[in-house]
Amino acid sequence: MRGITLIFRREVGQYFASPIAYLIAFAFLLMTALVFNNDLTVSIGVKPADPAVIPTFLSFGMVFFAPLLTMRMLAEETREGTLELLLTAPVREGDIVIGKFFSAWFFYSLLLFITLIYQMILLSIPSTSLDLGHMFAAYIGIWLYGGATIAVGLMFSSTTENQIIAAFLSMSTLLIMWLGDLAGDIVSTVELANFIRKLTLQGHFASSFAFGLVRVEDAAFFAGIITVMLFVTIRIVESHRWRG
Amino acid sequence: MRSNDVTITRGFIGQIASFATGAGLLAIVLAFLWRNGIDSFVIVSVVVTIISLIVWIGATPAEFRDFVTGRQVRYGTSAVFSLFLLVGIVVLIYVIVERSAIVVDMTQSESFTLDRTTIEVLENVREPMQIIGFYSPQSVVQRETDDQFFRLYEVATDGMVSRRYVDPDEEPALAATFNAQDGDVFLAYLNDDGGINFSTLSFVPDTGTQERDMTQAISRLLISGTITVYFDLSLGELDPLDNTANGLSLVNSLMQENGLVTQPIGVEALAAAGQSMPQDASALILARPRQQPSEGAIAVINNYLQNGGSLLILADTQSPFMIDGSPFNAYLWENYGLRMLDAVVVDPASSGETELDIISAAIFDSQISAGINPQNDPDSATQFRIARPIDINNDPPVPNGRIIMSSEASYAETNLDALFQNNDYAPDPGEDLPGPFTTVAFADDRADSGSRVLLIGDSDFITNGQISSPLGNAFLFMDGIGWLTDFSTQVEFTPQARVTNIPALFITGQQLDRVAFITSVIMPAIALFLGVFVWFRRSRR
Repeated sequence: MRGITLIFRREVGQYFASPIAYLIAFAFLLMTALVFNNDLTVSIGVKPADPAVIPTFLSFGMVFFAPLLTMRMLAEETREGTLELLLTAPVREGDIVIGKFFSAWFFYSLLLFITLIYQMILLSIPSTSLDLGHMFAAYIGIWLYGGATIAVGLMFSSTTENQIIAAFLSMSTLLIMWLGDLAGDIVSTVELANFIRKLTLQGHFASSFAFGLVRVEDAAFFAGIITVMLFVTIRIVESHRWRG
Repeated sequence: MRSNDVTITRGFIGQIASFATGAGLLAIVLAFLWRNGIDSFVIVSVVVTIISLIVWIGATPAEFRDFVTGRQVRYGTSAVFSLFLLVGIVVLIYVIVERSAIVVDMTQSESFTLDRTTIEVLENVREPMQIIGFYSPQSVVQRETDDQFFRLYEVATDGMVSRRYVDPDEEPALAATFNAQDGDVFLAYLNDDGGINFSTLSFVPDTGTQERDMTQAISRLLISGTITVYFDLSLGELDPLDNTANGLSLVNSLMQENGLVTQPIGVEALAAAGQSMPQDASALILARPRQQPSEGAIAVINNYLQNGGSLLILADTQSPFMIDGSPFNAYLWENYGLRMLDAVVVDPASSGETELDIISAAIFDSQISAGINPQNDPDSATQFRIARPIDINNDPPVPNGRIIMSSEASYAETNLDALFQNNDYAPDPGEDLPGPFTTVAFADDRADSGSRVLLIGDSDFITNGQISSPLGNAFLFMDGIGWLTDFSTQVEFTPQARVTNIPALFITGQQLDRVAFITSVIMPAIALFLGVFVWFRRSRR
């Protein structure tokens, strides 16, 4: 646990000391703000503001943001040879991977938390109201969803020493996992389409969390993705010890 | 300074090929399990795996040799097995959790929780019924959304209401049996062998209010066959099987689709045979009788009403039925305080093409008028073509009342010969009667005999040609039948729909600009400023 905390602190410190992280935050906030304001504009006098508009956007946005957050984490360490140094330190491979994962998830959580300000601003205006339960369900969903995408990104970051390749591989994988809604268009049987959809990220967010519904099976899916991806990442990092 | 240029090396190709080999092996296992045997999916996976393996061996033979012979085998095999074990555990947990169907509805309006009314309805489900949904692969998202609701019904009834999904593309014959389109949902009882009882099959309409649609469909199925409505045909009435513009086949179908049983009957024949109305009669309809009922027929009707029967009368002007002084008109006046007048309502202020096409001007709150709300939906008004006014006794023998009236500007033309022969009508102060007039009235003797009477001064509005023109005509008829048979209290409750009760957003332009400025400019700018600050500080070190 101490090892995880050490790595976590180190990585979080690197985030806040790096201008890239702020640039990512800038792009993240700008895009979510545009989406939020667009929803407000189209909702006036027609419907209540959509409490899940930001999480729904992020369910697509994380396909690109997660690789940006994770691409350097292990790939850069491998390329610069610091991973070998780290492996000689009194921390286990699991501590390294989990610490890095939590730091990226923490940074994402912080950005997500900042977007709650949009909802607070809306609530502060008299005559507007918001379905807070729906909003919290959607945020819980996208928080878990984000964790899963970060775990996938981290896994690909461990497979190569090139950040660009790591980002490309994770974006491609996440895009495929996001495109689950289209499964029905490419397969001929509904059961197969449903099976494919159950393996995708959208299939566990768009019909539940985004509607204000927390299904434990969806939370289990995201937790499962995180667990398996972290396990694979740990095994890959571990392989540095015994690979020729 | 290191470069991020991508260089394709043999090692990289070998690495990708090794991944592809692993993925191919996984695909073979999944395809084999999924297809339950060897088919094209499995064969394609095998071919891809072999090609990847050859590329891997060709690109990095040493690495491959190490992989299969060296310590990589020891560590790698252990890693793969432990990974499979972990994936197995994760899948197992997921399957258990999925089957437990633990769902928390966090919406303020509890949109995904079954309403108390629905739960009460489901408590009456004693025999297995099935929700049958037709969804093609293209509708898989819709299927999942609907399934979330249908699953609640299955859980609430402990499986008594089950779910079944059919792909209309894969089973076109079955879809044709149901006459189903993609996205259609049906409900039916199941036979003892688990098959669908097609005689109970009913379509579940999709009005965008999922819970209400499904619960009402279940209610209809529960009461299906328990309510029988008789159409009298012995007085020359409109025929419920006639599918011409002047027939009643549409309302007949509408009633049957709602689970009501409709039957023809002849009260004159019953009177002649000395018989009474059948015990199962929930209501009797006299749809535009063209002749006066005999004393015997009136006695049959009276006997039926005194035993708690319900009567719907649709009376037009162009027949001797219920003319002034006729026995049946006198009977209704004496017993229920209602009678028809020998006149036609003319309404210059609330009418359609002509002043004789009167549109409901005043509507009184009632279960019978529940669907009529022209203020919110103009199409929900009723329109009667040549309507007859109803006189209501203000000191009635049983409780009675008005449902629909004409406007203050209306009058009743009493010169019917001039009207029907020359289409001549005009207000004659000395002869015609001043409005407004009642065109739909009821009498309710539930407290005593249990009888109910609904009297409407028009019959054309329920004919095939006019039942949906406007839609209020159909609402009036079905709500009237619902009131007479108590069908409404059993089905027409309103479990919540999947609609939000949060009011629409109201925000001024100035407020919108302020929100946009804070969120789109200030907040991103702070992040950018911090980034520049960090970069500047780092560059000065």
